[in-house]
Order: sequence, then structure tokens, then C-alpha cells
Amino acid sequence: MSDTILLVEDEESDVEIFRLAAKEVRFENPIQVVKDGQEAMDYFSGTGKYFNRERFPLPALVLLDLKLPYRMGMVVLHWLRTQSRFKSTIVIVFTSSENALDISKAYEEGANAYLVKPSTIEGLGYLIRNLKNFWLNADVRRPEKDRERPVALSIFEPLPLTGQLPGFVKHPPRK
Amino acid sequence: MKPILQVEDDPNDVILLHHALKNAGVKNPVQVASNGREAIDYLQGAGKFGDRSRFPLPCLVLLDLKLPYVMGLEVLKWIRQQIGAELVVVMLTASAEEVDIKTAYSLGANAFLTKPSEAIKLEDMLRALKDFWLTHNTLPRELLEKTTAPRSLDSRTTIFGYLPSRNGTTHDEPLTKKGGK
Repeated sequence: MSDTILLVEDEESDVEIFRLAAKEVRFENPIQVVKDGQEAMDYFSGTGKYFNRERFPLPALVLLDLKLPYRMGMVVLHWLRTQSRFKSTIVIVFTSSENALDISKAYEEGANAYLVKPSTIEGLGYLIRNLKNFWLNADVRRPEKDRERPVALSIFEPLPLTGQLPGFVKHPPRK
Repeated sequence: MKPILQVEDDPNDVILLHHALKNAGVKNPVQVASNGREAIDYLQGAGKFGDRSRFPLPCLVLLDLKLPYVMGLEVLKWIRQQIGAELVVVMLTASAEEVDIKTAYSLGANAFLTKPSEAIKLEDMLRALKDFWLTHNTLPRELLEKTTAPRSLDSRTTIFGYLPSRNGTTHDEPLTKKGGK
């Protein structure tokens, strides 16, 4: 069972502070970090540099920032919830936004919880400890099979031979 | 202080939870619905739960799976369709079946807890629940202040439809009504 948490965060200083606070409260779960929305999606689909699932296991939970380069956090959340494999992955929004619209939208898109980043490192440590106590202790159930099902290695599969040269797209006949 | 709504048909479990919540330092009042039908009545403010000042909307629902009349997952589905995505629903059940866990999360449960058999473990669990859901988790202020009956899906669409995206928000697209989780 993976006990990795995935932090989707573009601000390096925020990542550093998170690691410091985690250390402070003896949070020992492995922390993987991706720096933008596209990387988050690559991580989940196991594509590109994230193809090795042993090195980059599907996380027990995701802490998702909303303001991200390339793809916004909300887009990542929406994408995850449209993938049947990640429909029940625990996604916790972790952001500085206290905007009521962001909060409502996050829940509607299927966030499990919404956390506003604390302004102090002590506050963050307290949050990490309580997060761990609730989500990573033995009694809270998280869907297991979601995370253990092997990902199809589509990049290694030969392309189907359709008898067409690349570049020719066959359109279905119009009705 | 908003109540916690416990949806539980076993009177022994109601008493156990009540004590454990107290010991865990939860100060919110606890309201009990003893079956799925009552849970829906409570949230709608219908029948014996008609008086909102006596039975205010909860900040958290603790929902059992196996309930008389209307099953827990049906109640969950109803909540997500009629109340919306912002009411925190934590499943609290004897089941640890993968299929229950997965279905509950896909229907929009915020979390899934399996009842421990020992009282001390239940207390620890509820302390963790309190520290996460009643301390750190953030809900829209509108919901926290709301004391009236749940809005219908139509009024919800209208509310969001008229709110423009302002600077400082992180929305990169117009808000439209989406389904639940």
C-alpha cells in the first residue's frame, strides 16, 4: 500500500516550507512533488518521466494547489474525476485562496476537502499532523484498488496497423 | 454552533458515539436521524424536523451504510443532488468492503470511516475527525451562515450564473453548474 502523498505546488518556497513543517511534526510519509498541472496529470497517467510506478507510486492522497502554471488546479481536479481510475482518489485542495467561489467550485468538482494554507510554519505543522491523523491512520478507508491497478503501458504497445499513412485521418461518414 | 447529524439506526451505537464525541472534545450538538428517510426529512426540514431553529442544518453528517427504509448510499446520492457538494458527509460504518468504499467515494462521500470495536479507538478517530473537519477544513461562508432550507438545484444555478468571475479568483472559465463528484 502506497503511503506517498503528492504535493502539486509550483512555488518552490512553499514546497520547502511544507517539507520543513512536515519534518518538524515527524511526518515520515514520502512526499512527491509536481510543479504544475500538466506534470500532475503526467504523474497520474504514468507518462513521460513518471512511467516508473515503483519510483512514482500513485499517492494515498493529493494536496492540490489551485493556482498553477499550464493547467489550473481546478482543471486537474476535473480531469481526475472524469477518469474512472481516479474518481475516488482522495484530493484535498491546498491553497491560499479563501474565495467562496473557489471553495464551492472545488467541492462541486469533487474535492474531498479544502484547506487554506496556514500563514505560519507552526500552523502548517499542526495542519500536517492533523491531516495525517485523519487521512493516513489505519481507520480511514481509502480506495485501495484504484492505486494498485497497473497502468496500461500504451507507449510500449505497437500502433495498430490501419493501412493508412500518418497524417491521413479517416472521418466517419456523415449521417 | 452547528450540529453534527448522525444517521444511525442502532441505539447502542448512538449512545457510544455520543460519549466518544464528548470525550474527544467535540462541542457541537449532535442530532440523530434513525433511518435514511429521517435523514432526508431532517435535511429538508420536513415532518417532525420542520423547525429549523430547533433542527438547524448540520456542519457534518456521519452516515451509516446499512439503514432501514433508505440506505446510506441513497441518502448520500440525495444529498449531492439536492443539497450540493458542500455538505461534508463522512461515512461511519461497520463495513470495510472495497466496493462500499469505492462506491461511497464516487458518489461524493468526503471520507469513509470504519467503526472500530474499542471505545478508546473510536475516541481517537473522532478526535482526528474533529481536528481535520471541524478545525482545518474550509467551507464557503455562504454555507456556514445559511440557516434556511436547502436551496433547489435551480436556484443554485441562478446564484452562480449571476456571479461574475473577478480578479483574484482562480477561475479561468465561466462558472457553470456541474454535477456532483
